[in-house]
Amino acid sequence: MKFSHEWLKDLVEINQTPEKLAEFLSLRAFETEVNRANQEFFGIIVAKVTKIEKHPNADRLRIIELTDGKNTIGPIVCGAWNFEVGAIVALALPGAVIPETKTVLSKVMIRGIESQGMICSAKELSLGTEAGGIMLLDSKHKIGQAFSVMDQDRGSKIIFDISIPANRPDLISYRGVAWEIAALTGSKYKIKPLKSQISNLKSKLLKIRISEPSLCKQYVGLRLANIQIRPSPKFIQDRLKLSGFRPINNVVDIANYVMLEVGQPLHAFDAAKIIGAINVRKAYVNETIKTLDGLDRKLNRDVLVIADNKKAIAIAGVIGGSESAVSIDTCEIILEAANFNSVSVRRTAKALGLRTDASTRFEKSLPINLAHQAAEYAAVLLTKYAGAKPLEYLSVGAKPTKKVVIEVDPIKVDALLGVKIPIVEQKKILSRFGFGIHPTRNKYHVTVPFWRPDVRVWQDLAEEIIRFKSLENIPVKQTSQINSSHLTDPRVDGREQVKDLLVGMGFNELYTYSFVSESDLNRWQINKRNVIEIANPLSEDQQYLRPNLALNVLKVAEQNTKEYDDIKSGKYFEIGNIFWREQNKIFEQTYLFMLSFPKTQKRIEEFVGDFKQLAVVLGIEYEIKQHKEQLAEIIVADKSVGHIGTISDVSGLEWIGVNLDFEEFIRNRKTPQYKRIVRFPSISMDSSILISEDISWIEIKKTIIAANQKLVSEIKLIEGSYQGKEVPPYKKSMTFRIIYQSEDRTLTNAEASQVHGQILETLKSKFSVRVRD
Amino acid sequence: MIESLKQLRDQALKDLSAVADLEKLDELVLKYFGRKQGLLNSILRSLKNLDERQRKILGQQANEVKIEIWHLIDQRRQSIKKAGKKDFVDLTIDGKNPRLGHLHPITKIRREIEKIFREMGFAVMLGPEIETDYYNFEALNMPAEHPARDMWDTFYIKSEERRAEDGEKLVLRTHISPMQVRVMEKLTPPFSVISSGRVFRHEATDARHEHTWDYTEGFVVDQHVSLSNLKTTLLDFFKQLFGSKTEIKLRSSYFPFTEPSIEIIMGCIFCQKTGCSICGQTGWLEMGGAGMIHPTVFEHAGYPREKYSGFAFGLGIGRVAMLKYDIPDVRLFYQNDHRFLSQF
Repeated sequence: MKFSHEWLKDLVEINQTPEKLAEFLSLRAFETEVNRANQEFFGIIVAKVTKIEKHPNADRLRIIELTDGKNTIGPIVCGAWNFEVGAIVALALPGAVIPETKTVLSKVMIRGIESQGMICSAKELSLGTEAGGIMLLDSKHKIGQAFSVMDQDRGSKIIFDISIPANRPDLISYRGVAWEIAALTGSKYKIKPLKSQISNLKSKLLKIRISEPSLCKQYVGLRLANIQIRPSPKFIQDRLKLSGFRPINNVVDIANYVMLEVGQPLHAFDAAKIIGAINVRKAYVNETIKTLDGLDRKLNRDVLVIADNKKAIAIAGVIGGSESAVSIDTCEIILEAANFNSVSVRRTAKALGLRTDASTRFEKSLPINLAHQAAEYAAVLLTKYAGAKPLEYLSVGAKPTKKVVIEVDPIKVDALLGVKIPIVEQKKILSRFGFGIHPTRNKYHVTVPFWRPDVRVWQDLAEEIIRFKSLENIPVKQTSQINSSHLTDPRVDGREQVKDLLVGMGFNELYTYSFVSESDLNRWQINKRNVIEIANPLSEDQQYLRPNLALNVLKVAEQNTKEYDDIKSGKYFEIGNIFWREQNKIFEQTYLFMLSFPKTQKRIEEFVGDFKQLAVVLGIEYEIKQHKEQLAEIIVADKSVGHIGTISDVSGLEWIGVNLDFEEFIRNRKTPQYKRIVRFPSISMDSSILISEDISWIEIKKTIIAANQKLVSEIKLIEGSYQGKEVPPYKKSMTFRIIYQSEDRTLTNAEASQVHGQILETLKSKFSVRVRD
Repeated sequence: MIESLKQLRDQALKDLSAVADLEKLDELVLKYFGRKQGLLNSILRSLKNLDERQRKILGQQANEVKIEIWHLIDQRRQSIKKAGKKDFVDLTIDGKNPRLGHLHPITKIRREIEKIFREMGFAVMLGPEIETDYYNFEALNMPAEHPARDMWDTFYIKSEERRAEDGEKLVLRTHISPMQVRVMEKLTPPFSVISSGRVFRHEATDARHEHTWDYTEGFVVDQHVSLSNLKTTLLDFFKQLFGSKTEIKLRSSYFPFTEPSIEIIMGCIFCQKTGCSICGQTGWLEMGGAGMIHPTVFEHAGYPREKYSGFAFGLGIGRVAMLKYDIPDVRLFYQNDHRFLSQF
């Protein structure tokens, strides 16, 4: 929110430069930036136009050359036409920070010409709203120097841009900020309570009814006659402009002015347009209202409105109706200062898609006391600047609520902050902020002022104390000495180890989004019934939560191969959470997806080997069960934990991948158990067999082991699936090596040969294998 | 027989070492492998006079010797050939593609962060990305319609998919802070925990905004944890992460689940606090939020009133990665461009 320095100075004594004050407030209260007209510009220089040519490829653009007094700078591509050769301009060079967007300027190609900078408009310099042409400078600006703005009226153009914390409704007002500054800097707060002019007024014609007391705690109405609509005085207009408001007329401007200063939104109705009593009620079904922004809005029972005897005249706390609005003909007004329920206003503003200055204030839950205070102040200003005569006053609704009292133990405050602050000082600091202090034995009680609804527990007060003392004064002593290392989730180290292993095998780690689109699901024929949908997706591309990692990983693979011609192969993996639903239950699980492409026999062998190595190093025993031609199940501890297989896309791309329930997989890690090393020599024998192509290796391997468990110590597949010219159709050639070893004696060659012969016989009879020579 | 094989082998080795040119080598080939007079062949021929068992054993050995000598001759030939030339190895070649893959930069930075905290004794824990409204907001002192909820633009799970057991509203977690209550429900203090992972913000993407972020949050709960402990821990952490000259400052801030709340700012590492485009000319970088855990959070965890205190802090892993690796655009992290990934 924008705060004018000059206006603030009217409310509180400021003894520091604006920059010092902003830094001070940023550390202790809220982020504050200073914007001033004579700010420094980074990377923007004053330059003179020396040459203008037409852009060869664009009619609306020109190519500009400039000088900084020494060197020629250009070409600059420019779309503005309001200058000729000789013009003095603000030129942003590459690396400059553009004040409007706070972005860094770089060289860009514009229609085939690389622009070496940008000639700035007033808007781009944040010095005005003019964006149609560039900002022309006068001869006071020296060519070649850093661009700056020399403003005689320096003091009045300083603006603080303050980020107000969500819990501080009191700070959405000049008075609130002024009070905070006074409390924190120790300077004087200049506002004194007004002598009441309106509370004595009676009401005759003015009638107010609150039909929804839970949604409107209080409604203050003020009828003022003799209104003279005209422009408001210059100081009001200036202050509104600096705060980001457009001046309209004295009545509307004063309502806004009071809202800005006090924090209470006000609304002025043209009294002549109101028929009968004011009623705060819920809108009827299908009731309509034309609002001040010119839209016809259809309402429903959730919307709170201000109505007269006939119809709705305003949407409570959000926006007024256009029919009852103040116009040039208005001579009598009813001024509303009400307290609407924050939740109700928030919902209505959201539903209407209309956040106004009023609604953002009501949403923060305003104190009841503000309504009367604001009406009082508005009456003064309207009398002074609109010739108004207050006639009637009516306040309907609740009395201000009971004050909150908090007991504070100063020792606890010290313990929480880690610094000792004497009780006397604690109390002194709190009273500066406006808290009432009541000493008790060793402790004290604090009464919270009405404008601080954020303070409810003693820790809140500890924060006030340290804000005043400054967080700089928190000593650096020692870190907490708690050791929880043993509580680390075992999945964490497993995950990190897997990542390292896979990277070592040449896989690149991906981080893809957790969202997928409907077309992604359709493309892979995934049933939407089991996929979780986002209620408010950012776009159609992100409507669902990923039901597996493959969808997005495959997209990355496709993109990388499409975009860069030299990438024809790749190995990728991602470990991340996937989501699905079964019946009404929602599931989330960490998965591992590994991918290798293109699908060649060599890559398949390498990929399967990679996976095997991974499992071996992790100490996970698994089994592969192949049921389909291109797909096999991975079984760990008798449970299916995922799949290995090939994937082909409609576009003809083919991959090999592993999709794994990572949590289940990693849970089955076993600590290696030492097996005695057999000292007797081993004998290895190689054989090649011709076998039907659909018999998988695992079956052959199992058969070999079963044939002689005692002497077969290891089986290695040397060539998995050779289908050359000499191999008959539908057959493949496999070459394997069996290593024979006995645990208790030296095996003879003859013995090994005999066993090997038997094994080959078994294979022959079981799979009708032909042994190749 | 075995003896003569052995002798033959020794002789061959001797002959070979004496050979210095290719002509002599060819003669040697003839001497051992000549079809008729070749010494090896004549030995092999003599095998047929033996009985089958012996023949098999000796045959194999003879074969081995034959192969060995053949290899040695071949090697010799290569070395003689080379001896005539300069043995130039071109070390300026591009090299074959290395077999190593690349860890994602987010993983690398997360590990750096976690390593520092693990050395301080923090446990690393994991939490779900789909979170209940309760853990994401309510337990963190943000009841329904609390205006502070607006600080986190939230993705909601479609309503018919509410969890059946309790019918509670589900969201994609907007921060890691739900882990505070989840961990407190399970553990009795003292403990110090760090948790990292994905968080989601309902926010359109551009160079500085992302709907998906990786975040780290840490928290410590004990009987007498103070703001001073927090400050010390953070200073220690940032010095380890960015170097011992790193400066941090605490700035007053607001989060519903901490009291007092602070923001951590760090002296800009690019301009040494003189002001540059990365720190927006301020000399300081915003690094994350922190504070003393709000009593309401302890209450939701079921802890006795006023018994414990604790601190919590959060920081964006991507933010640290961008600063460390000089990455200008957040979108690069989740685009997975090959040319990006292979830089880390």
